[in-house]
Amino acid sequence: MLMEEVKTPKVKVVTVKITKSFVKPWLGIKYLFKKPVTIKIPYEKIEPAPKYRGFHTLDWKKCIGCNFCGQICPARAIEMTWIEGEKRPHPKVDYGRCTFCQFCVDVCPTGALDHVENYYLTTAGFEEDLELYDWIPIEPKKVQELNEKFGDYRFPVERIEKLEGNTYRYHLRDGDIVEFKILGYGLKPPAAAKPASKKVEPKTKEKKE
Amino acid sequence: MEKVEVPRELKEEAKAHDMYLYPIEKDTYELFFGPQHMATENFSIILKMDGSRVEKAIVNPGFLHRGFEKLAEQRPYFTNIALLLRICVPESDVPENIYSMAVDELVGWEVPERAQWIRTVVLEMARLSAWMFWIFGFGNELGLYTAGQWAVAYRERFMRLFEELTGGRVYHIYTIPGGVRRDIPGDKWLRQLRDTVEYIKAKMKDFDEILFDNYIVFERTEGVGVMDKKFALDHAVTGPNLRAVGIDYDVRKDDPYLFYPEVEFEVPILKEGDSLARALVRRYEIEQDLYILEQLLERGPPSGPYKVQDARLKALPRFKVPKGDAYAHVESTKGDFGAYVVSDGSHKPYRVHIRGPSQSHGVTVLENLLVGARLADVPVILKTLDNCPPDIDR
Amino acid sequence: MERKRCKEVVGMALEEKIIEEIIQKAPYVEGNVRRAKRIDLKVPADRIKEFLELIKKEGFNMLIQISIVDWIKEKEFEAIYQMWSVDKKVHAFVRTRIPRDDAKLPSMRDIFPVAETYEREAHEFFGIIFEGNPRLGPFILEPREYEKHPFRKDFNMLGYVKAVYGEDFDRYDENKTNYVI
Repeated sequence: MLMEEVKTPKVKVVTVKITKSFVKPWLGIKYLFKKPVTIKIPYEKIEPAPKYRGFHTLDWKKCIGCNFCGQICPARAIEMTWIEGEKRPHPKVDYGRCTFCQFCVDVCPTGALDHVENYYLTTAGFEEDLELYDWIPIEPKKVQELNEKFGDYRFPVERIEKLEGNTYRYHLRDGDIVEFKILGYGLKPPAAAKPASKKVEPKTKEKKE
Repeated sequence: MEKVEVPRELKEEAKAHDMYLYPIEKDTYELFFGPQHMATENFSIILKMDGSRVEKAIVNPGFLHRGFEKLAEQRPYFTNIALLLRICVPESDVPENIYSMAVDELVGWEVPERAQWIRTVVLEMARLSAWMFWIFGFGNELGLYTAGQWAVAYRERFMRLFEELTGGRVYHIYTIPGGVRRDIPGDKWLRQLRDTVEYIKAKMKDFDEILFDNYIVFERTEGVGVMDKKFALDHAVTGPNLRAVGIDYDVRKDDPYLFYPEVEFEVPILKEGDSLARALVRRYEIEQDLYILEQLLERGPPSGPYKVQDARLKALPRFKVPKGDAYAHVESTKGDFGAYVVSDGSHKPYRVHIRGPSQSHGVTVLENLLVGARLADVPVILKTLDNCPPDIDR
Repeated sequence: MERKRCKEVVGMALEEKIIEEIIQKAPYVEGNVRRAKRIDLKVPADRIKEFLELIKKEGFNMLIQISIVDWIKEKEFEAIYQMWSVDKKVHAFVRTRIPRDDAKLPSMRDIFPVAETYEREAHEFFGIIFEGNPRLGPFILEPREYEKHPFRKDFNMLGYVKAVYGEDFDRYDENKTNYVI
């Protein structure tokens, strides 16, 4: 049974046997004639595994703005944003802080936040390029379309343009545009939009308590 | 040589920075074996040398201090996994497992069997990739770069397997209190793991020829950095370093956890206590780890859930843990890794204290073993003790 | 399920015997058994050094760690010496409590030479003075952080970081409401 193995461990006491040899190390030369294991990455491709932890996607209809993802993020990378035309706030992810642990995906109660295998995002340091790192994730079907069309795992947005009046415009890689206006950040509804969100206020206060 | 008197202000300033400027009898010069060195990995030693022999060594850690224990007090219980695993990067499953085992003991729930099997397999895979990384470091210090390049190529296979199982290659973020986050991706993954184990078993013969049976390695490591039993127990040496002195202490046999009571393996022990014995103990342990993985894979995973089903887990950010404290430890390739977690009933831990094995190996043991060594022996002693600086600084 | 039951039924007799022997030799100690292979001993603060000498002869010859917990509401520090016995394979927690202002403890350096490193770290992060240890001073931290003894509970980490690194490390500062962190 199990107890016998725990009570009497087998122990082997060995003194060092010296088997020095001049000749044996030369046998390593046989590796000169074998095929190298290097994968030359820009010319040959490797695929990430399915369900690799990459960028996020958000289903705007299902998100209820409960801020579980913001509470559990270890790096405080998620900020709730009020968008004109949506009744509930949506999470905005900052990839300068994100550790790609996907705890936010595990914790989301409706399953609105999800992840894809895209992982490739590099920019120069100009101010307009740095806007790319702060985004509200887009619909999963759109990202799958872009992946099939282009065949590689890059970030789906090419350029983020900030227009006047806090409007953001996302230029996607195949020319489509996603545009919306941001009213404010945080969990309390913004003060300027009071007539539109009067019904929403008592509900969010209850959720906070 | 007459004694040189050191002025008082210099002594105060040196003491404030822990530099020990007290007069030594011989005429010595100071050498900074500094943080930009491949042997030490972000750790610096101040050596007082006489010619090419070391008279005194002072250890100077602190380049990797990130404040993990204070940061862990301000995050909820489940979030700390993504933070604490960055303590020991080559073997990142070990800090996840000790924290999860300590929180499991505090909460008091029973982890399902399938999760325990998966956790054991993941720990053994992490041990094997860390042994490959150790061969890379050990070969490089002696100048035998070929063995290191082969070892890192074999480690790549383990990283592909981890990528399919957990979603990330180096930082797995996989073991949480209550089980694991995802299930095994099918039988194909188990077959690939079995193929990798057979492949590495066949390749260990090549490592023997080029590294462990090599005349140069024997000449450079025999009789260098000798410890005896009393020294090792006084200075709390654990892991393969202790087994090279003659004491039989392996956490997997003495305080068994997860699936280890059902697996058969031996604990190799050597008696000499010098660097050659420490290197050879690690060679024998690689064989034992391959044998353990074979037995686990033959047994196959038990059926059942892979996570605890509990109603409290619906509100994960506000998960509360009852009052108390717990200590859990695990055998890693470097030694005995332990975590002490104190909880006061709220949703954040009150105190998390991680004990890394290099807190005892890398400071007092190193300072004592380096006295009288040649300059060329310093990286050899460092690598056979398997010093990992993030454990000291946390 | 079987494995856990075996551990609890067989293992407890050894731990209870150890506690009985210790209480016979040192009657000022309270001890109890937590689970298999874990025992808990509570010692008053002025007799900690002779107790550690006694327990080394009992077989607990490896000092694994010295952990300090800051109980700020009760105004005390708790020092926990984690000991392991290689022959009997049992882990012991040895606890003391000392007052928070002007905290002092004797150094265990002559019994266990490894305690020097643990005491340097405890002094640097909490501000406890260990009498008899000549190497207390900044070890891991820099001198300007060492003076504040950062792991105490009344050290405001976010305030210190803002003072040293400036105001704009956090971009949307005015709306940080209801975050758990």
